Amino acid sequence: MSRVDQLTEGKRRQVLVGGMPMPGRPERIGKAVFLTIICGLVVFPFIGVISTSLATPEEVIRAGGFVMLPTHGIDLSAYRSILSGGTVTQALVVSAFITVVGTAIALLLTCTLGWALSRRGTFGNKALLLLVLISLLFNPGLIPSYLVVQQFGLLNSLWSVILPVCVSAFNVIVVRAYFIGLPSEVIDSARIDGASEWKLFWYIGLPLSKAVVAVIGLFYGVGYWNSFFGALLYLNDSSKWPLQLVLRTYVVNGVEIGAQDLGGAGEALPPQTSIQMAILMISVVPILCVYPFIQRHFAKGVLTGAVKG
Amino acid sequence: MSTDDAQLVTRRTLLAGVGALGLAGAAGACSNEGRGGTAEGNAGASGSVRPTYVRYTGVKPDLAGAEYDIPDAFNRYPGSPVSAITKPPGDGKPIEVLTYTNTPIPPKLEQNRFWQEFNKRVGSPVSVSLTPSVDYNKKFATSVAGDKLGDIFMVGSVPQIPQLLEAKATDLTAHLSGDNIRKYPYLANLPEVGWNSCIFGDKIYGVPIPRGAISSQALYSRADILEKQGLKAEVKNVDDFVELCKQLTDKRQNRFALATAPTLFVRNMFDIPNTWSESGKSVVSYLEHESHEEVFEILRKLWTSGYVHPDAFSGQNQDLKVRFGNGSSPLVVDTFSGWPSYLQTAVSKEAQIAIVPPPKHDGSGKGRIWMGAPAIGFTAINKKSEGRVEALLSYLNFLATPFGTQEYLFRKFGLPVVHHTLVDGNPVLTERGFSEIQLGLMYQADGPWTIFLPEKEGNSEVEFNAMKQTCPEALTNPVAGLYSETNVRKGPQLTDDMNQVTDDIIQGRKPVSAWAAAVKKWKSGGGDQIAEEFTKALEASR
Repeated sequence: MSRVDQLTEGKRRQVLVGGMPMPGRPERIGKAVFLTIICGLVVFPFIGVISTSLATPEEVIRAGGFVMLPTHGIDLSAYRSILSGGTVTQALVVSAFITVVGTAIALLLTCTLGWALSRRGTFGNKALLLLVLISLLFNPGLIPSYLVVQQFGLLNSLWSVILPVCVSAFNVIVVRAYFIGLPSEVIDSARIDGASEWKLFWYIGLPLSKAVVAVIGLFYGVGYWNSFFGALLYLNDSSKWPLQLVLRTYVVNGVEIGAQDLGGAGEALPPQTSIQMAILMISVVPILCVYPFIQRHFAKGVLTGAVKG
Repeated sequence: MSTDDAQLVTRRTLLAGVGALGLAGAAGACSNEGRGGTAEGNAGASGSVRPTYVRYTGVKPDLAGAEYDIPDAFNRYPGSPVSAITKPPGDGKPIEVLTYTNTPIPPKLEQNRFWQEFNKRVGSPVSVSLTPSVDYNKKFATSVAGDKLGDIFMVGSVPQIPQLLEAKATDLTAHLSGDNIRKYPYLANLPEVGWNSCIFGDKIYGVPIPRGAISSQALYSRADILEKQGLKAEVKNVDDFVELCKQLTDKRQNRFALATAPTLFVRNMFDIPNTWSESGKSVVSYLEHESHEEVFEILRKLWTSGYVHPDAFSGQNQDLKVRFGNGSSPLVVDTFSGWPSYLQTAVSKEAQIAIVPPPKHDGSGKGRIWMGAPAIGFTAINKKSEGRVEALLSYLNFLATPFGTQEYLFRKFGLPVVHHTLVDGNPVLTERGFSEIQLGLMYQADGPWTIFLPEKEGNSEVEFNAMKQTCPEALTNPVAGLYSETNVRKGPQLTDDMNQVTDDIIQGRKPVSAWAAAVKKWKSGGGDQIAEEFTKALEASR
């Protein structure tokens, strides 16, 4: 609730919420019920995942795959079993490295490119913008990408997962639009005070654009954290795999019903559901921890860019 | 990164990339004609090059399956396993392997006692590039384009396999054809039909991962649940089967007889051919069989009566095992190789598995199941490693040592105490063992499949007998292991479409009459061409 104003209008006192009259009790109850249901629908699967990861394998099978409330107490064996081998903990470190370094590089490249494209008179401005837009429309495809990564000598190195995706055209456009929207008076006065182009960007442009930087930072961060396909193609050494790809080897057995001919996937004993859910928790929790801190910038960052584009 | 680096991407590389793109199927429906090279299919059975089959007799099975064309069965792991290999097969140089896996990846070499010991026994440091099986074709396509196939690679399903093998794989004919294979006795012990898929134009390009009967699908039943209700795991005709399903369904207990639609089981009752059948000189798809409409009527009846689990068409494979394991669906269709996973997911100690053999639909005799594919794939040796071919074949020979040998015990169960413990004389993997042995060895080369179910006393015999009862008369696929270019390019999409129509008809979203139209579309969309190519391949193989 941002602001509550109280005004007297005639005999009746009316409560204003954010400039709007506060709705009557039935309407408020209706909204509360509706929102509770929606929240419940969102939270329900999460509770299922947490409970299943804490249930014993027998209980999971008895319950038909998912446990909503473990009745036989909490069993941490699923977590113990995945964290003991060292594969998952190592993958967590790899994922953290890829996410932090990748996001930093991506932000630097995206913001500098966005700044350059937002400034009138940059050399090759139009042509560069066109190139960025083209990459929005056309995808290089699997094998050409692989060959480029190979030619740069990046195969089997973590840079192969970070560099090919470190500039997203969509984010560049959002940042550029935000920069264009900055008041030109501020920038002009800084220039009169003798600021160089770099200082304009670093001391004026960026501090005024924290919201949009936070938002695309989150986009990149989540993107890097969740990515597995690049790692699948470029990293032959499975000890360098990020968490999401390791997770995939745990659920690969869960191929769709009927897809029995996929490399004999039905032959291997399936990992217990509780283990799958435990590894899911491990992969989701870090992002969930970061999200609330960036969320407040979210709407502002994206909307500003979008409207003034 | 400087611009000089960028120039490394030369025109030639780009052209190579475009070529490889075609290889990966992005070129769509290009014709093979006029492309040069040997566009020959695999002429599988050509007598002259076929490796001689020499059965390994060093270990005596508890139940011998050879005469029924089914795997041998063992009740216990032999107490004192024989040593099958005298000296390490490796040449001391690293061996790189590209293959897939269906299990979580192992810890890295430094932390993996099994891997270290494995390298010692092989006599070469082995590095394995693993990919989840569902993603393997993409990994394979890019590895082909980048020429990063390692020394030994599992051949993925990409177009133009014959040309690919000719360009990238070592011709193994001189080493494996006829009696030459005797030098690798455990490769010679691989079932004969498995080699069909490795032979292209009178050249042997690989070593098969054999399966056959064990990959046949049958109807599993929870014998203990049936028994409790006074029912038997056998049916005499269609009505009998429907009645069994009715008896086993109890909606108040949330129990549905079938975990999934028993499409194949019902087809087996009508003797619908195994994917392809010979008709005169040509081959005809099972899709064109005349009894499909009758089959669908039965399946629709099972579905509308609520005898099939409502989630039968969604969810994951694993759900079937869970439903079977907790008794909420006491019937399920699966391969014989899935038996151990059903034992593992059974929660109650009384759980018993039995196979229900299909009868003829009208009760006039036994129905016939479909024989599983002879091999699920094959591994080839890189042309670049041709100089080391003998060491690499010895390595594969080492991996193909059969059940009952020390090498097999080590490969599947690791070291005693560290990786497995003995329970009633049978090795059982420890948690550390399960995590460390997952080097994808069974998808590089493997011995013939053996029925060995230490999870539950007596089950080896139950499975053996069930296979003995159903497999000898199983319908075989006449073109199994043969190659059709169109089948590789368009087959998966066409099959998906037909499966979709099948599901739609069973669930009543489309009328039974939609089948004929779908088959017509399948034929014109590539089916006829596949049939033609298989006909030619079959002819060439004789």
